[in-house]
Amino acid sequence: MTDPDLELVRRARDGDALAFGELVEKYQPIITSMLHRFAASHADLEDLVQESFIKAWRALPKWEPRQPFAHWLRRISARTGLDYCRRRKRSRITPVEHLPETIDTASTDTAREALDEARQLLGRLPADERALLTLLYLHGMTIDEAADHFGWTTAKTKIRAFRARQLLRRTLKNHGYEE
Amino acid sequence: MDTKNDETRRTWSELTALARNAQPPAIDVRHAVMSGIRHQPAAPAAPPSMLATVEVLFGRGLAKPALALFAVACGTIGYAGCRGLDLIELVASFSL
Repeated sequence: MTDPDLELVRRARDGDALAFGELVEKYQPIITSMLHRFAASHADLEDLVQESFIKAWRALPKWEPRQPFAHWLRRISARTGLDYCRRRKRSRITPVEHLPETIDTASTDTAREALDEARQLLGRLPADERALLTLLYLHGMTIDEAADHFGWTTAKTKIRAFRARQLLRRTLKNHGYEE
Repeated sequence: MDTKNDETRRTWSELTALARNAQPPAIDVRHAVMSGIRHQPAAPAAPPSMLATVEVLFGRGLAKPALALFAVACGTIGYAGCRGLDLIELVASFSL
């Protein structure tokens, strides 16, 4: 199956910024959807999405046509999310702000609240564990998928996930949550 | 988190199941990205580093054959080195 973006990506790789702009237009909802589970605020989310695309632009010469562009881009954004968790841990900032621009219905509010609550709990874990559990629990990925997105080996991801779940279990217990 | 009492508190499974339904906000970063990349040409492809090569070998389960090949290569080089030294000694003995 041929990649539908092949032509656009090839043009972008040759330095055509307009072609890359079309790719940004097309993929920003997907990248936003990936990163909004990491970002603590709307401003952070915008920065992360932007950062992902700029990283992709710089890395375009390394892109190989045999891998679908969409998947390649998602991996870049997942790693941007991982870097974000690491930066936040280093700067010791732990406020959780609400992302304001959501569709205003009761069900999405509940989902938003649940996401904020889950993010708060995950925010108590070390950066890598937090990022990994974000993929596993909030994106519903498998260990293999998470490993692929972060560029880790499956073995490393399994060990990290085991440790992360132990830490999470302790955090949940400390805050009176059940699994 | 602590404001919720135990009766209303959801379990972690319920929380994550709900959280997965949260809709991302609509954002548009096209202009910001375009101005960000305007003066940055896409970087030329760098040759793969040694570390990347090792990572690829291990990632593809080629570690054992690669180590075996490395051991054979070391053995061959060592053997050739010994033979070379013998040869040099022999030549040197003639010249004395």
